[in-house]
Amino acid sequence: MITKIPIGGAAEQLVAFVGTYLKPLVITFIWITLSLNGAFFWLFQSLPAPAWIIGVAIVAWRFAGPGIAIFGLLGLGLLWNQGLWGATAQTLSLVLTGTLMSLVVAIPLGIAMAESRVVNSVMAPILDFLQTMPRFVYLIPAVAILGLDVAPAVFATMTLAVPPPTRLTAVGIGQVDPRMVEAAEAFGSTRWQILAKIKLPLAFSAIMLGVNQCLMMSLSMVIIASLIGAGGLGAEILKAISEVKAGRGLVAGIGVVVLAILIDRITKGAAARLTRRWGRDTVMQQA
Amino acid sequence: MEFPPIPLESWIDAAIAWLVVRGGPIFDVIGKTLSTLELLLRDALRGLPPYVMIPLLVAFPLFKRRFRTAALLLAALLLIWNLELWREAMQTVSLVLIAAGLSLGIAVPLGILAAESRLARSIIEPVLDYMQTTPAFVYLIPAVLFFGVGTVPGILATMAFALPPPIRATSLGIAEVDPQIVEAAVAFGSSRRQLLLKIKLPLALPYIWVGVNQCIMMSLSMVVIASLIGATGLGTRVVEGLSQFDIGKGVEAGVAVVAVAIALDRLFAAGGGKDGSKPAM
Amino acid sequence: MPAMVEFDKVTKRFGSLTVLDELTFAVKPNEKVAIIGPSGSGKSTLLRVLMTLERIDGGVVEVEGEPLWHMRKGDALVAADERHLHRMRAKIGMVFQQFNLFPHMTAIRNIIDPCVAVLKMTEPEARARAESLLDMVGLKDKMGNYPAELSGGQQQRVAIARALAMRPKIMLFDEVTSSLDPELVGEVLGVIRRLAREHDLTMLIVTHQMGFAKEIADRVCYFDHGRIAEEGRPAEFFANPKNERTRAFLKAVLEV
Repeated sequence: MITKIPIGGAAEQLVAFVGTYLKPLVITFIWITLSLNGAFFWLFQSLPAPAWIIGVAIVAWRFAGPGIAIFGLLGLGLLWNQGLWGATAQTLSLVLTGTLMSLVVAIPLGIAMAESRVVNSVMAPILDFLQTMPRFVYLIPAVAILGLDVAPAVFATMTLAVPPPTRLTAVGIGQVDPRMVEAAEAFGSTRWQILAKIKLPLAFSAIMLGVNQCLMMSLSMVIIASLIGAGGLGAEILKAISEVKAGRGLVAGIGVVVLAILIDRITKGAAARLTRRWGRDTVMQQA
Repeated sequence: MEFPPIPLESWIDAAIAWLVVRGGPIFDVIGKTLSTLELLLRDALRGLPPYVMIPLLVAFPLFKRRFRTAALLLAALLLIWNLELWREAMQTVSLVLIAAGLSLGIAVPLGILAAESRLARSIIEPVLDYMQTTPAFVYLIPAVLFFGVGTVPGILATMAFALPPPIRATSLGIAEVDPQIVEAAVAFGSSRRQLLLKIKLPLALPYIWVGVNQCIMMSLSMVVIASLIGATGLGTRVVEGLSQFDIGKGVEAGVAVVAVAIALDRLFAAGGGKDGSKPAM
Repeated sequence: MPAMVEFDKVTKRFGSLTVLDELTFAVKPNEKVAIIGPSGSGKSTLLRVLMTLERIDGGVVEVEGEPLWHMRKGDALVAADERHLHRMRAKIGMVFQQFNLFPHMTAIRNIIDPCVAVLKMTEPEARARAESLLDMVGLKDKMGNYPAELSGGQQQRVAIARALAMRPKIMLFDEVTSSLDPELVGEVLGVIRRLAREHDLTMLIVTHQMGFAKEIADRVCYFDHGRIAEEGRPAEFFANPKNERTRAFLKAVLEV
């Protein structure tokens, strides 16, 4: 029998290497995530729950119609009523932190993949691999390097939430009509101008879809990250399951579904609305 | 101003208690059937040692002269064996196959219903939207509440999680059948039933195969998550890695899951679908 | 002799567009009728109504003296149910512009399966019939091929064989050569020509091939705005059209 391929050992060494030699980077990451998460959480606490609920309902009405607005009012109202508003705010802070950090990585990476064949051929298989790995495998190195609580949760979230917007940004830019790029080149635009003024605006709807998926992935992972001490609705579910409190667990589960549906419908609605406006202002005129 | 909390939790607890008492025998039957099935399949998959199973499985694509597929499949299977995770992998595969099989058994008829009846479609569509927005983790909750911890709730949560793609694929495939072909069949006097069985379903087959593949992939990802509630297999090793802070163990199990995903994907691609222009009659 | 097909003040509308405008029209048994006219004049709709693919909004269609879209219940006429339509459909066969062969079945399966499923024939009976029909259209050597592996002309010949397999009394041909490459038109027309000569079939042929219409038809009908604007025996019709619009149409078509 051939000896076992030392995949596990290699992973351990990689984690040890990062922990020892990239300490400053690790500390910076922890600091950034903690501050961002803290800021979001402070924002949620700065206004009373009803104000937020009504605010969300108004936004939902504007972007996704009255049905979703009423759904939001009832759903979030229920969470508040059940004493889960604090957990909801915690979950949302983590989701927003994870999404923001993911997008900061994903959009430039997606642009690089669209613009450079080399980057694309290197990144595509890595993204494939990241997306097929079972989700909570990522929790292990996250805990080993970053300890417990917010920072590893955000890191684990990023491993799951970076691939979709990266791909969609690259695809969106790749699908821009080459005739428009040619037209811009004919006017003497620089490569940078073409990217900023032509390609990114035209790829907007694809990128917005990426943002939507990024948010959904973040939510999914933030819930799972309760396994490594991330607070919020996931922690409530975990606690309820371990204490065999059926009602408590289902109520928190319903809360997660409420958040998922609100986030999904509102961002999709916003994307559709903005795209329509873009469509009228730029794409149509140029077509 | 604050409303007193609605006693939702105690209502749910009471409802579940009632259901468990009243439906106890039914839950027992479901539970027993599923666990027996799973045990049989698991033993069957583990019955043959890897050095027999691997050639058997690789022979499939080889027989169809798909050499790249065979090579990829061989590499994935050898990797699992090499990582000494064959038994765990077979357990995971048996859970995936049972959950995906149940899921397809429900999804294909529902997909047909959604394609054929406007009323059914108007009910099924929004339910699927909600199901697909719901994070995976949430599916575990009701499964645990009704069936406790173990493989059975894992299978049921996985089955539910993997339902939407094959429903959509089936219904889309039927909707995409050329209306002129349908018209010709009507002109020849075929009944609604004949139209469905002889024309629409065979022509929708390539789509349905895509749905089958997606269903299996989603089942795999969910089965791994379901190890949190005691569905044993590769996922258990990941969870152990996490709780013991054993990076190597967890990552190796994770890589094995990726290998299983590749192997299942290739096997089912070889099984049909890809040469969909001439589905077997 | 009673009419094989009879339209009595039949009206068909698509939204605000009237495609058949109180059309009255009869075909005798064994008669071969060519239907010509500009596109959108209602020619194809006439065939589709007969094949029960389109409902009518007014009037009565009769096939062999029996209402197609209605059933007699006592003295009253009521809307036809699926069983009645099914029975009436069996009298009629149709060949489509786009062939519409079942793409997942070989040429011979395309014929066998409807015979088994609809006529309840046994497999060997159906196979024998399919083989003799494919032989008749000159495609016996192609019977194991899928439609995608056949040329347009060959597909259309299979489609004709498939329609004949159901032993209809009436055959409808809906612009059967319009989507064929010019060099393939001849082989399909040849098959129809032989059918017209050798079989006792009532045939309604919507076509743009004036020469063919002239040669094969007992009667030519010029369709315009959902009505028959002019009809007659082919020789007179083409030699001396009376209607101004008919003349303009024939001039435009024959010049091409």
